[in-house]
Amino acid sequence: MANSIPVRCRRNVLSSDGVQRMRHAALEILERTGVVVKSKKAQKLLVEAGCDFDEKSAIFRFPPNLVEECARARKRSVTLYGRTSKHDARLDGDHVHICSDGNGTMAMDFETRQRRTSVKQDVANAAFISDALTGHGVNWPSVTSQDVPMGTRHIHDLQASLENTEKHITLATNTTEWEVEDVLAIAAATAGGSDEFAQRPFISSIHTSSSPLVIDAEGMDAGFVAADGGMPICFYVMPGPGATGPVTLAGAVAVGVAEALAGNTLIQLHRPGTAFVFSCGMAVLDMRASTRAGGGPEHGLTSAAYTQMAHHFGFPAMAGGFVTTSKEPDEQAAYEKFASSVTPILAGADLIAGIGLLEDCRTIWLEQMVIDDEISRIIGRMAEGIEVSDESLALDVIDRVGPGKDFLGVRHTVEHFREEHFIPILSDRSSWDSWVSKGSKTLLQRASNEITRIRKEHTVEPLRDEAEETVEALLKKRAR
Amino acid sequence: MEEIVTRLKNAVINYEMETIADLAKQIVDQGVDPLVAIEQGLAEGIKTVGERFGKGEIFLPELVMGAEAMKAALAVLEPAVPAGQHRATLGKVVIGTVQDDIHEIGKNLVSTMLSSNGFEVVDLGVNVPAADFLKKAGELKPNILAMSALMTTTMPRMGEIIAPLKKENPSVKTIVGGAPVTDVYAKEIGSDGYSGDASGAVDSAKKLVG
Repeated sequence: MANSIPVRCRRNVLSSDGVQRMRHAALEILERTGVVVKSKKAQKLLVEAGCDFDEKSAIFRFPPNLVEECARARKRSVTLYGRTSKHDARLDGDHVHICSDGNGTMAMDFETRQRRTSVKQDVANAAFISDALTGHGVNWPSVTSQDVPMGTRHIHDLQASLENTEKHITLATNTTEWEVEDVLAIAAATAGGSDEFAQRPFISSIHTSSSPLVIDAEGMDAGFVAADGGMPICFYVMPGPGATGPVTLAGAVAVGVAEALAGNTLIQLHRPGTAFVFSCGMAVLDMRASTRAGGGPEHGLTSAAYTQMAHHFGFPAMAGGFVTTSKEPDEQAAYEKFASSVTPILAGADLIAGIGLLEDCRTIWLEQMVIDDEISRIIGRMAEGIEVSDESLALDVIDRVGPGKDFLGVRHTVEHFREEHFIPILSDRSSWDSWVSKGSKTLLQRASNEITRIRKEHTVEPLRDEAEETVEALLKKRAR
Repeated sequence: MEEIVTRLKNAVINYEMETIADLAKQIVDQGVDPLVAIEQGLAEGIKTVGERFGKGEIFLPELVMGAEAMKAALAVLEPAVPAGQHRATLGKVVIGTVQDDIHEIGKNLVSTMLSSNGFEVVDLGVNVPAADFLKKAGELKPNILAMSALMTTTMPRMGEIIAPLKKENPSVKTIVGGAPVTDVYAKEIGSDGYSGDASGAVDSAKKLVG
């Protein structure tokens, strides 16, 4: 599968007993504590399904049978289609797709080297670079357009993304019904019709709970419209251990799983069969700095545990990873991003969101995108593990070469080194002298050169004229 | 005639190391000038391979396969060159790993890099006594004597070769290399050149013959 990591060497973080206890815990939370559901549409669906509720607090208690029945009602496998078919991302439980992480609000300007508020051009730049990355599969607009009129941000974010990537786009700026309607109109114009889009939905829609255990009205209603339009729903839960979830990771994951199951119940009651992706970003609250510590080792653990639970219930998982609280692409960024992504990748999370951003998902650096791509390919090689076969054991080759000789010039080497060895793009492995003779370049300088190369060489399939016309019409309609 | 020389060039570019010797025999049988075949076929082919490697388009195993193909064809073509004629090269390099050291791969990589960049390389192998290095330097009159050592214990052997060489054959330049060897150490033992890796050895050799 293009741009994905096959997971041969899976590392689970929960034992099978742990998975069973977590399952019962999530179901118990839903049945005993319940979830605040504010959407009138959703409330009506739950009442019809026989949920017990408290009118004043809007707390709904979910019977386990209903939750489990709805968990069975969705599509079993989810494909996040690309705008072009070579970029289709099949979430089959056996492949990891790397996704850019989204909705940052700041950018490090590649030309001026100033840290500033993100603008539409940043959305376009990040989409274009991510389109070229071989370790990257799905595009979540990394930042959002803040130089556009109020009420048009979702249109601009989508336009800048569609124009600059052929990969699947997952969108989080459509948080109201009318915004989703705009997205669907642009999607239909891009695909050549609503039915064409529903057949190959190349845009999915992110909706969230408000942890702990609250599902807001506006976002959920928007999710219903997205499901009606055929978009897969990525339901994002973010209980932060110690803050919006219990401090213990198991408790926080149980809350997260409960919220995702509640979200799925609502979506399936509204529109049975809707593709639903369990999504999460569960990072602890740093107890000194009072910041979200997305680069901590706990983030990787919660993402991996949540992934296991998603797969247990039969859902694909999107989990946070590649996160750092560091302010620039430095050593802390490198090890935090590695630490927070290695665990969910080895656990087989179908999608990992995070590449490109710094300051805990706030600021886009184009250089960081290519550095993260390198990290993803390194961990990807780890996840592939060691294949043992006649061809890989190579006994005939060993015998032919014999003792005391080398394997460099034999065909077996040429035939396999590209898949057996991780081949770096950015990492410098030359000797001191060669490194000095090439200008003693730092990682950041090499990453910057790679951005320049991509900008010169990469191309993206243009959109149909109809898509651009629809965008222009909607922009006129929505500008206030 | 032109066509078969082009085929020979492409056989190097396509790493046809198993079948290129047969092609070289055909060339000799057809009466094509073996020097033309070497210079316009093999040398041009390996130059292309070397350039692709330098640009990062291909990797080490492909470069080595290209060099292996060239070597297999040279083994057929060189004996057919009329006495007194020589193929044009950037220079002749005699190379080996010093006595008590049997590490070969680094030295082989340097040989491959040098031959794919237009040098004629005579490889003495591993565990080569100082006397053999000096004897070959006298016989073959190379432009460069290249020595490799992978251990701190065998490193001093290189100095023990350089000192007498500079008296007996002062025109022969030296290059040293190997994991423990540094540019500082190379200067200390009086070597003309040094390289920390195989690609650097080519630059170093070019400087010494240039």
